[in-house]
Amino acid sequence: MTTSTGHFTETMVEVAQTQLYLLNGGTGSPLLVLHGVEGHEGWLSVHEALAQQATVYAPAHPGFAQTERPPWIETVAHQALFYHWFLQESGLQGIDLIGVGVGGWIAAQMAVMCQATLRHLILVDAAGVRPRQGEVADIFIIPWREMVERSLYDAKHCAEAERIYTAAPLQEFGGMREAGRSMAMRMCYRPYMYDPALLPTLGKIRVPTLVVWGAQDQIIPIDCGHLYQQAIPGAALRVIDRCGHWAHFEQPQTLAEIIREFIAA
Amino acid sequence: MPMTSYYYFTEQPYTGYNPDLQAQYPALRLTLPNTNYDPRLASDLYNRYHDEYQVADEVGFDGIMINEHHTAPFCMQASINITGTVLAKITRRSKILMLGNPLPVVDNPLRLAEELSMIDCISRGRLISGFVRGGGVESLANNINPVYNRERFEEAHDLIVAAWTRPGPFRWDGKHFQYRVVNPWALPLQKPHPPIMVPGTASPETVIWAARHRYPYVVLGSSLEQTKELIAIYQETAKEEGYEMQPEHIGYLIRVFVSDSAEKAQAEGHNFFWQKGALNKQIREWMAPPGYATVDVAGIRRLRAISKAFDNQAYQEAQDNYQLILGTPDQVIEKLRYVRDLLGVGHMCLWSHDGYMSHEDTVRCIELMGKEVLPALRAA
Repeated sequence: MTTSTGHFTETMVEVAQTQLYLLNGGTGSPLLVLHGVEGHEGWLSVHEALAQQATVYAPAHPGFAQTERPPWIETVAHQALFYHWFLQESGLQGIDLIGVGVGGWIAAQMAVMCQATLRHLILVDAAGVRPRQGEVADIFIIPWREMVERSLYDAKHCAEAERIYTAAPLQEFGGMREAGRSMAMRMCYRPYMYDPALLPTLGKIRVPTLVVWGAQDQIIPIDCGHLYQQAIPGAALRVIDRCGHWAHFEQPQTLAEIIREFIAA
Repeated sequence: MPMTSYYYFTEQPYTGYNPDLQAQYPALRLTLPNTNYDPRLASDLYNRYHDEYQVADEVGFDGIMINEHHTAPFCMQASINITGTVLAKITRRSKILMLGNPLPVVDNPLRLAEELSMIDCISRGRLISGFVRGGGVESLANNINPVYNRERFEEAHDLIVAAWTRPGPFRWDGKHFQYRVVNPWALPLQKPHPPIMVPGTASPETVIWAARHRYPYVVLGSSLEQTKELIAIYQETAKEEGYEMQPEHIGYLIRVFVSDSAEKAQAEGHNFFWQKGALNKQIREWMAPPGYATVDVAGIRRLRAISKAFDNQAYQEAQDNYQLILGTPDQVIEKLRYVRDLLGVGHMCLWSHDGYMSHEDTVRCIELMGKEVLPALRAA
């Protein structure tokens, strides 16, 4: 399949008796990108940029978009288990795992569970830990449209967001994003956006880890980035300036460059 | 003419704040600062509303309908069971119609079963125990995941009925509720258990659920057209279940104020709009959070349309459409009779106080209802 933003293949893969919606493109070592609460927004600029030197896998989490939720998946830990199941079935090894927002939480949870198949871990503005200062913005009581705007440093000049939300405008009710919004609420409602068992177990991770944060993230305080960096042995933190919570929308080239550098190092 | 029971209702509004404040907040819910709440005034209001309930009991209402909302100035009842307990002691004959306990936000339904049993015993069997899902905002206010709203509603209901009717002790292993031992030493006086009713405004799912359980469904002030549609759904479901819907299966809540003069009633009726359109301000994320309803967009839109309808209607239009009935006893008798017979309802909840209506005017309204309106409606 070809779109204006690049070349990729669209498939449904059976995992745990569930049809997983998966886009993949590029050549090179496997790189799995896990989306956040915004949902699966198709083949993104950041995927295309990363696909220059890797085989990018971009699935829609169970409960989001085209992937149905099997009844047992209710939490982030369940998602992590599901993706380990996917890795097992696909036979992929030496994976570079990237997660943004709640996808970062899933990725961190996966690394805590089992890192045998992982080569690098990259967490971008990741949810999952409770900040010492400030609060994670309550995206469940902020109107969704406002949440989208607040997730960007400069909402008026974000080409990727403009493309996505022009191609498929936000709907107040229903639409393709409704299921994912419900799924996010199912997983992240209480405790809100963190798992008290995650931070104390991050020390188990031995995979080289990079934490990336938007300097102007108004959704998840950068303190969470510091917490991740301090808790994961040897982890580094990179901050992208002029960038909000959605680095993958707002600074896709910079983000891809930082990731490529980290993987190559 | 259906055999109809008549219930008095007020939301118990907290009127001690400036309604203009609402312009600064997304809705009159959840985040409206409670620094605008004065407990001294609230103490007066609670006691005044209780006095008015006593008048309704004395003048011959069949029951008193009460409700519950959270973080909402339009309704002071943060616990319907507390009002129910008060009614159990201060009234003598009226049914206590709870519409209702919002089951999904309750974390311990067994305790709720016990409390309701106590109210039934203390009132000597006058409890009608309504259960509601509650709007999405009630889930947010109580920090209960809206995604599980329907599941929790249904499981809590099943557990409460079991606790009331199944000899204990027994174990409960549900998805949302688990108990090693269900064995309450507080059981309802009414057998097999107090009547259950379910109110709603729009959701066909809830009508179907009520009809399948043969529980009366009370339409909360939706337009007559909408109400007829909901009743038709009940009727169809009843047929599928192998029984004929009767008037006793349907109720309707209607705003009505009676006074000695038509002019006075018209003036006081404006109190039903005291929140100046605030009911319109319902942001989607609060009213119907993702996952709160099955992804039935049409249903959610309809819900919104209905919740807006009353406030949007011009004063006269609301009266022409029977959303608001004002007048002398003779005037309201005719209109109430029309609505009752059109809908064929066995339960009419008369919302007869709101906003800044004075205690004296409210009491006079209740007295006229009891002495003139209800006898006329019962006669024909």
